[in-house]
Amino acid sequence: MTKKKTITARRSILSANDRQAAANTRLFKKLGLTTINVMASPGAGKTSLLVRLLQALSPHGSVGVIEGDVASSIDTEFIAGLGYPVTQINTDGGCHLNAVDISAALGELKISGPGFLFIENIGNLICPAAFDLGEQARLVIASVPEGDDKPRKYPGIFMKADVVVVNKIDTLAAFDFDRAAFTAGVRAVNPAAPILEVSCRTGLGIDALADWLLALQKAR
Amino acid sequence: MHEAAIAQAILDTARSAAGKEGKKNVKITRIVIVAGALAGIEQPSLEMYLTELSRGTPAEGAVLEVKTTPARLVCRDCGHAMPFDSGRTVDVQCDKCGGANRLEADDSCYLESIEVES
Repeated sequence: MTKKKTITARRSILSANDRQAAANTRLFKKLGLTTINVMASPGAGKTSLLVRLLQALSPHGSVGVIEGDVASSIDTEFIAGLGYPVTQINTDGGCHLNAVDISAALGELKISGPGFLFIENIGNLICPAAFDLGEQARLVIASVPEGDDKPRKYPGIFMKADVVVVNKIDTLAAFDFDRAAFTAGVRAVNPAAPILEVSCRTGLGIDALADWLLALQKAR
Repeated sequence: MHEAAIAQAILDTARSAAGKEGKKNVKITRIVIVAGALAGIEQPSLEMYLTELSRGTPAEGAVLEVKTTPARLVCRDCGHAMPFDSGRTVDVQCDKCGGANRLEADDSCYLESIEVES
C-alpha cells in the first residue's frame, strides 16, 4: 500500500552555496583580503574600474582579481598584461558566479594580504545578486549610457549593494541621464549605500572610491 | 534567469529532506517552496528545469508549488503601502501624497515541505 506523508523542512534552497560562502569569508579573513564582489551589466565598465582601482590600491598592499566570464579570457589577459595577479572562471553559459567557483579560483590565485581581492561577476543585473560569494562588500556599477532607471528596473541587485558607482560620468552631456532620478531610484530600494560618480576614462572620482575601500578595509 | 541552478538546489534539498525518512524507495510527489518577490524565480521556467533534472530520480514527476512572499512599496512620508509586483518598475513616488517610496521585499528562497510516497 502507498503511504503519503508530508515532511515539513524549512531549509534554504541555497544552503550549499551559503555554507561555502561562509567558509570563503573565513578564508578571506585569514588571508587578510578585503574581498569585493563587483556586479554590473555588460559594458558598464567593470574591468575598466578594476584596472583603475588596482592602480590606486596597489601602493597600499597586495591586489588580485578573480575574473568571471561566460566565455573567453580577454579581461584576464588584459589585467595580467598590466602585471596584476588574476585568475579566470569561465561559467560556460552560466549567468552568475557561485561560492564554490570562488573557492577553487582562490586556490589558483595564491595571493595573501593585507590587500584587496576583486571578483568581477558575470555581466548581468539579475542572477549575480542571488549568490553570496563570501565577499565583504558588494559594489554595483551603473553607467550613464544605460539610463537612470536601472535601480527601479532591477531593484534586487541595487538593494544588496554596499556601494553604488555611476561610471562614464564624463558622458553626461551626451545622454538623458537624470542624476536626481537615479538617486531616487537607489534610495527607494537602498537607504544607505553611498553613490559615487566616477569616470574610468578620465580618472574622476576614483580616489574617493579608493578611499571608501580603504576605510572598509580598516573597519574589518 | 538562473532557474537551472535553483532547480538543482531544490532537488538536492528535497532529496536530502526525503533521505531523513530513512526508507528506501521513497518517491517525492510534491515540493513546496517559499520565495521572496525578488528571488528571481519564474515558475514556468523553474518547472521546465525541474522536469528535466529530476528524470530518473525519486523526484521525477513531483508537483512544484511556489508560495511567493509579497513585496510592497511603503511611503516614507505618509506610510501609504501598495503591493509591488516584481515584474514591474519600482515607483519612487507615493501615488497618494507624492512622498518617497521604499521597497520592502526580500529575495530569500527556501524549501517549506515535501510530500513523499513510500
